[in-house]
Amino acid sequence: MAIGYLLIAISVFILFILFPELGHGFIGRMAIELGVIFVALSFILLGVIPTLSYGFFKLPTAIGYEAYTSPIVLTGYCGFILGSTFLMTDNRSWNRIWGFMAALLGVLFFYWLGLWFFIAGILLTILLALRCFDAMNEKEELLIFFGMAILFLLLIVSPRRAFIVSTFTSFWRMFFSLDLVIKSSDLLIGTTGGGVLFGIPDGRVLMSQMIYQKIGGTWTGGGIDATIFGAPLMDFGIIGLMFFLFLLGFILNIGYKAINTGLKETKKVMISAYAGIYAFSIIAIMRGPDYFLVTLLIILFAVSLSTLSEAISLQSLSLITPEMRSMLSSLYQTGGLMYSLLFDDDKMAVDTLRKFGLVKVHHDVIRITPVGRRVFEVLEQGSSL
Amino acid sequence: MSFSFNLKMLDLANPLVGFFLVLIISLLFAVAESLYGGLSLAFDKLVWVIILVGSAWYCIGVFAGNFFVKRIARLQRYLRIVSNILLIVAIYLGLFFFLADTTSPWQLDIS
Repeated sequence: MAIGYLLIAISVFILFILFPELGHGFIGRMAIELGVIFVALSFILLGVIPTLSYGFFKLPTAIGYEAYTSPIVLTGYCGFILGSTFLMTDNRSWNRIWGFMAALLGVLFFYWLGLWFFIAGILLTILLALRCFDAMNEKEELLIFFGMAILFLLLIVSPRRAFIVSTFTSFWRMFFSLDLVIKSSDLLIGTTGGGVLFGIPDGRVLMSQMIYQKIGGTWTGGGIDATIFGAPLMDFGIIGLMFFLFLLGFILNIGYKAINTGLKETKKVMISAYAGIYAFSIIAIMRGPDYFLVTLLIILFAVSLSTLSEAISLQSLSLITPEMRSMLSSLYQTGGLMYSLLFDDDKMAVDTLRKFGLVKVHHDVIRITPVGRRVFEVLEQGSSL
Repeated sequence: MSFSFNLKMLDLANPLVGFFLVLIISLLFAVAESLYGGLSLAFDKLVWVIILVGSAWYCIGVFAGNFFVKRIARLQRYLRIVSNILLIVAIYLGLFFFLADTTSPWQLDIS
């Protein structure tokens, strides 16, 4: 069974990367199904629905904290945010309604799990994705913004929350935790050497253990939210803090630059990826970074670089004359090799293509060899530029 | 001349705006909570230094992204290779975390 779930996850990922033409509705629904399966699996592993365990339904045993932030829950979260943003940005209105429904389902599931930050993450992702697509007018945006704020406040001040931790010290507690991290770690070179940022399943548990070790208490379980500055500081000291935040800003800004470039379909993927990963970084400001954020940032960087390279291809193709476009299209259809004499305009276009590594050109009787399939996909869609 | 506040003016998707908005709101909430609950806000001065240093380096990272984005994009020929390698690294990391998770049913014994 376990291998089956893993295969589903891998196949969805491969479908998502290799066949964007399958349509966002299909991939969105697949992602949501994946999210539902994984969250349901995490309920089964926990043995109980945590926020509903009052009185008669009370937990028989203590929940392992690690189960809360295991990759299973995180994969479920990814499924929900990807699926709902994909469906919401689809052209068909029915899919958009399904997207909102899926987002609400995600909020409900993560409310049952008691993962408040993830609820904030889902809401923020949706707001950002809709904003990046310019899909809302000002009134709708205000309505959704305040609706989300009220929903989140209602959830965070629920009765169960008061049992777990005093509601009115949530933010104060995190800065206090940062204070504890500073006092219990070596500020110059760090203490844990990567154990917090790359720890499995949750490095913040190690941070909590180190603090207890320093202050001499008995660790009884649980992690610590020490803001985004806490984990790199405890791992690698002040140099690590500077390096991590530099990279965070750098990658997020490259992603932000990449969302407005690229073709229509790529733009959708890019906006979904950026909104999800940026929202996760935003909630990590208070929640603290972990291995999952690190992995997501690598993915964002990879996707952004790919989109930027496509944008450059588009820039170069905009210099090509219409005759050249039709010639290259016929070249694509006939099979990759062509002998031709070119006019001056076409020479310029071929030079441009060669400069960006899209074709190989041999002189005299000119033979053009296209490099890769991608250039023709770009060419076909970019011909309307 | 009239000024009307438009939510669209606040570019939430911008990494600089989002980060500082959330950080400042959190700090304000922390101050409000300390006032309400009679808690001390007198953390070690190093806390404020760390927040300032971290935010400053985040800003530097964002501006470096602005500065280098065109230079990076000009390396178009290598971008695909780099992005593919990064994706493979990310998939590997994801699978490794997935399999090495001590709470999952498909636990991998890495001890």
